[in-house]
Amino acid sequence: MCSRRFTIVIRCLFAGWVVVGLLNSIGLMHVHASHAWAGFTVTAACVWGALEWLNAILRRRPLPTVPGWAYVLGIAGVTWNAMDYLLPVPARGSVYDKFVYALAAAAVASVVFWMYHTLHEGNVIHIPLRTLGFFAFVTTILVCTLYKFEEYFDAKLFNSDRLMQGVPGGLNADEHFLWNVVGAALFTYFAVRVMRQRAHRRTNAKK
Amino acid sequence: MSNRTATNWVRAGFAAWLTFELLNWVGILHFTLDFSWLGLFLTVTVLWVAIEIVSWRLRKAGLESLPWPAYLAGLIGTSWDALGDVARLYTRIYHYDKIAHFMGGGAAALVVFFLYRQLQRSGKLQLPPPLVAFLAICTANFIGVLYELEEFSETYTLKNNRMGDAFDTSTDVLFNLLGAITLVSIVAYVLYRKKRTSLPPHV
Repeated sequence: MCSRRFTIVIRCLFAGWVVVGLLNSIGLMHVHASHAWAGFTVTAACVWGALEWLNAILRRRPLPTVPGWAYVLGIAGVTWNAMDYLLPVPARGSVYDKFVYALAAAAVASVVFWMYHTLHEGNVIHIPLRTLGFFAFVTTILVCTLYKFEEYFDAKLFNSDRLMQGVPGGLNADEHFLWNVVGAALFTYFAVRVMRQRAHRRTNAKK
Repeated sequence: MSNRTATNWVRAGFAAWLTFELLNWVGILHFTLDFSWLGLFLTVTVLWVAIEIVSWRLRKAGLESLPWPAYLAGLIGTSWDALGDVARLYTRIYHYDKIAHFMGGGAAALVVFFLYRQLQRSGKLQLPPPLVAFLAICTANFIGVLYELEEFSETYTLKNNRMGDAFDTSTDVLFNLLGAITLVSIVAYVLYRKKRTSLPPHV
């Protein structure tokens, strides 16, 4: 659980990015970006909306609400995305690009894993730990897929180079999916391992 | 009709396709197609074997095997692909590929949905019904992403450009997901409504 003041600060930061994105999208601000601002606005709004929606699901039950670190991850991700729009970054296909997609997937996987684990601990769902890890993994891949659709429609509607369609032999979506899968798989694998070790220690301590 | 009888009819459908493709591959029949007989044969074989393995593992765990709609979903998905190749519908009908991905995504999602539902009914999983449907869609989406990664690895290693243009992967995944969402939503809704009345035990 995070303090009320902390939550307000984070929500203000999210709102700030959404407003900046919206004003640039409709032409009331003219901050230069490498891609169309509409895509960034949608991403920021969806990340914020997803966190609040998870909170709403948990509040309906006597379960812990979304922790502060999840909000920090969310705002960090959106801010990083904004910096990619505003600052010159290494080209798509570079090591930086691969790293960002893997890291983003791992960050999403951490929040999704926490969500499913909280629902399991709160007796809303009952699933074996490895299955929980797998479900967190495939849910993360769905989130990454939705982000890929944002890039797809950005490229289609605004003719931006989000899918590297202007590069001969460009990598398009596949390599990004590959690094998403790597990031999500690594996180969920180690998360399950850590949880299993904790469960073993708890069992041994009881004995 | 019992689940076993209906499943056997669908198995006959798989066997018919395999026989037809095998006879063409070895040169006894001489139908032509856009891609390769071996590719078609492997696709049907892998899918049928995968569904049978899942059913066998369920029975081995003391649970009921996959119901006949799961088999039928697999057969419809592969038949759509095979027909598109043999009747050259991929080249004749502009959006046939997109429809194939829609059907394939839907078929994969239905098989996974019925698997999770069997695990749910046996008590191995305890999930709210909407979450069962959601996770089936997520899993089917991942299967679709894996398929695109397979095409990527072929292009990367064999240089055969299986990937198509820059929009191809995203378009394929989009229609996979739309098919998964549509078919699972329909089936889950029908099953949820029918739950209020008596159902045959295998559905």
